Amino acid sequence: MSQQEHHTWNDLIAAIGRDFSGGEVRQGADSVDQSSIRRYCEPLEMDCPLFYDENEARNQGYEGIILPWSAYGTMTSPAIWNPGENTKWPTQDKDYTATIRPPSERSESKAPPVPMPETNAGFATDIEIEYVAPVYVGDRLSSRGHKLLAVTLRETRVGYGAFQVYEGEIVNQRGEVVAKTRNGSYSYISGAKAPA
Amino acid sequence: MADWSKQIYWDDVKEGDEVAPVEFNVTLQRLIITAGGNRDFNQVHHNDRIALAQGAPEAYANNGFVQGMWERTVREYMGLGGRVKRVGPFRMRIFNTIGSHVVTKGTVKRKWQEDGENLVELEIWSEHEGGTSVGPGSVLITLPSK
Repeated sequence: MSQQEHHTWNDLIAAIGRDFSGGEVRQGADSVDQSSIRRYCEPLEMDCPLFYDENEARNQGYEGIILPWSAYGTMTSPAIWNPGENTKWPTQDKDYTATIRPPSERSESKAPPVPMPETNAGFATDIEIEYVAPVYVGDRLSSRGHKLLAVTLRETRVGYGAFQVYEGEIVNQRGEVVAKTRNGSYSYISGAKAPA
Repeated sequence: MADWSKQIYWDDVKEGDEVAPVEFNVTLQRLIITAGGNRDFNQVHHNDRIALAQGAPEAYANNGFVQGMWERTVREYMGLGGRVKRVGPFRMRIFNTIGSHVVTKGTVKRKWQEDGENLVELEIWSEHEGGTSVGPGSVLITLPSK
């Protein structure tokens, strides 16, 4: 039985207001570079010169090429696999999903686990971001804080689970806040119904 | 293609103005390129079996792609001199599944000046054959003045 199975949805509701980051600052896998910006913009066909033209960016008052605001979260993503780690694909199951371990599951982490029942699916639902400062090529972003703000239990077309909202910050390599975030998500048991 | 030589000024903006639509065809290849670009490797975004098992009709665009659609739409409206201060709150209501033709657009909700800034609040949303998929939500920008 996993640790999560010991918890109920009421445990999650009772945790509203708690910060689940453990005080850790979680650094993104890579510094912002021109290649990462180009690859981000490519499927969007987003050709704003601020993302590739140094002179144009400076003409507009920036210190250089900037990262799209919608890519701030991307640049805080940790790597799935790091040098020295065991394989993240230990099976031939063609639908196996290798995931980034949440902070609470890393042995060195002080982040507490989120007290909720085990779920098998989830997706992002709501987004609110305040942009405080530009992010430039060469910056290294990290996420800080993971405070649970709200929990709403609900049965939907896809299952039963909880809508959750977490608050956090994105900081650069100098510890300066570049964005404040509130991200909503729905964690659920696929196909499940609400308790009678 | 956007004409980046043009700049819209706060003085010329009127409440109710249109934020011109930008169209996106959501294909599986595009979502795979998106996953490489924004590092959201949740398989619901590129594997129909996983998406179906989790209750979605088929693979669907990830939230980074949705935010990117909004950014491109807002950037093309506000030009190089515009700045984004806040996005949201907005809600992703229904999936933008592969095969969808998504149109992201909006209107000017209000404009005002505060603390020396020329502020404009846009209302943005995305829609496809199944209805409004994302939003409406707020995007707060600043624009240069003449």
